[in-house]
Amino acid sequence: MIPQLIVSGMAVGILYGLVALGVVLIFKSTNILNFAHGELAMVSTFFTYTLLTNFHLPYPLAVMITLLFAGLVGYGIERVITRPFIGSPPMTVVIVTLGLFLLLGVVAMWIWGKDPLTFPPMIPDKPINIQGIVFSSLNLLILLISCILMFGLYLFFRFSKIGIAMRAVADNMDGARLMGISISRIFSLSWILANILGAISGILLAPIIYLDTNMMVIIILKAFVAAVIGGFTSMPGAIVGGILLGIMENFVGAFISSQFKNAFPFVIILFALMIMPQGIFGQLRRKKI
Amino acid sequence: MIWTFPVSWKKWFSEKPWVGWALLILLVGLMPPFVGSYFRYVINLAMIFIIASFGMNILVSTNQVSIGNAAFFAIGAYTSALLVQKIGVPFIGALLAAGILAAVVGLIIGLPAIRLEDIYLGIATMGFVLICEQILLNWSSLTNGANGLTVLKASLGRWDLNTDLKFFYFVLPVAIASIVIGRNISRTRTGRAFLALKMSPIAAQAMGINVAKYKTISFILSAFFTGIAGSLYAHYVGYIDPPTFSIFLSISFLSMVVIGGMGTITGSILGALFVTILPEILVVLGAKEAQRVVYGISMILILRFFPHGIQGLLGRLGGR
Repeated sequence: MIPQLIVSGMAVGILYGLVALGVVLIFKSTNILNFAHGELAMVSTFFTYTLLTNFHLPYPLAVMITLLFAGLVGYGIERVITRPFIGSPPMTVVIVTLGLFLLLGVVAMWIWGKDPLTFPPMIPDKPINIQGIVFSSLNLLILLISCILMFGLYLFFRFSKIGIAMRAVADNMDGARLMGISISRIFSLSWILANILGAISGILLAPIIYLDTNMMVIIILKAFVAAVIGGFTSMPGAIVGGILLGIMENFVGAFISSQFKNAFPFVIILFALMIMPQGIFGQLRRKKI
Repeated sequence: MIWTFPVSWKKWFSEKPWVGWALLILLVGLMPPFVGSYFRYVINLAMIFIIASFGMNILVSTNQVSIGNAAFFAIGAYTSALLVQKIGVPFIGALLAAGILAAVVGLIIGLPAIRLEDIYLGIATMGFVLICEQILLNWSSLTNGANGLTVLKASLGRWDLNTDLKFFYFVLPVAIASIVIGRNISRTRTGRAFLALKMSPIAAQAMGINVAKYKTISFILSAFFTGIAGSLYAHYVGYIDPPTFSIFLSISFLSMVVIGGMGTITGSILGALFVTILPEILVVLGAKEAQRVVYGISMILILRFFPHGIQGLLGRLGGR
């Protein structure tokens, strides 16, 4: 039973990690805690749904168009909403993203209605049994896509010029600017990339949980937990944090109480922030006056 | 000669600012008997939310942001409802107990959370409001779970505050008292420490202000006032259930402060009025769901263009 709990915990956890990845990406490079990340992902997922069911597009095409759409939305939000706030106190920007969070939920409800919808899965969901541990084929696909994504991101941040520039901005904004990196372009790019990641995580999540305008409210909070465990500034940390959270959550559900399972991640937030605010992979951030 | 009169009038006012407030209070206090019952209901809710928004304002004015104040509101509401119903504590005692219990929980949550950077406090308090909602849902023997609690109407000894009008004349003094207390705090050593924290926490620390201590104090005060507001809400509306106290309530407390004008008492009053009265207008117009959209848009636009909120806008129109 324990290996089964670990495996299914990992499968959910990696999704928390994927959502967290987008949050961390924006936080790292622009210092904005984006509460609206989940809602943006939800909107992208609904967009895919409309393409799939109303326009009957093939799956890969629908996903491609969605990613393009998500990138555009991310760019638009950075350009119109958050860019004027560069340099204001972090609290102000947090409130702005909370405003966005309120806004997007209702707008999505106006467009797509209140009722939960069933999102068509990419491949038929069949259980696969390996030595008594049951995998769902969907979970395996999620695992595969996540691994590819992470490897791609690793290559991007390690070797591409833009990726290195983004890391430079995250490290030292003034220094990067002096080296001729356009900060605003990096900010836009971070939002585009983060929002595309959000769309992917939404599309992967939707077949597992129902497609619903509230689907991301809990998920984004769990993603925050994953990011906190991972240190909030580390991208691999976010994924590891997500996986750990998924597994722990399953254990709590199985051995302590299934009701407590829902509250458990938030208990972790308080404890993780109390005991080691730098998380597993993060560095302590020092502020200058 | 007559036209010189307003000048001295204005001067007289600026020398005695309390006169303006007294006139305003008198005006508000005399209004309810002459308006319809629906408007009385809205005014009462606005009074309750002024206290909650004021609680949030204390926190914001020390440069902290909490998305967990709905939890303190819930603690206040459930504490006093249960005390009155199950033990038979008089309402006024339950009201104070609600504030005190919320403050104690605020202390427990605040002690660790406040040492964190401002952004993490947002996440931690968000976690807190979700835990609280789960506890309210699952501890059915005490809270009656998802079915909610029917709460007895407030009463003061022999007087039942069972009509909107009677409740109004109770909640108005409570709201005024909260504001006066808060105003007086801002003139003490603690208040000046809050101001220093708002300007620059690091510089404040360098000046010898114990940052963690004063942040905790502001967190506790905020929890106290929010708890009081929660208790008033429960005994006024007469029914509470866990979804009432969701994260959206927390965000609407925050939006009151932002829309009214961050860090000022007048701002938090104006914000609470705006946020309470607006949904009622939208209900009348038949667009109930638009309220979140309006909050969302107004939060973004106000922070972008009028960082001092409605209060700053009125000040600018008034030529100050």
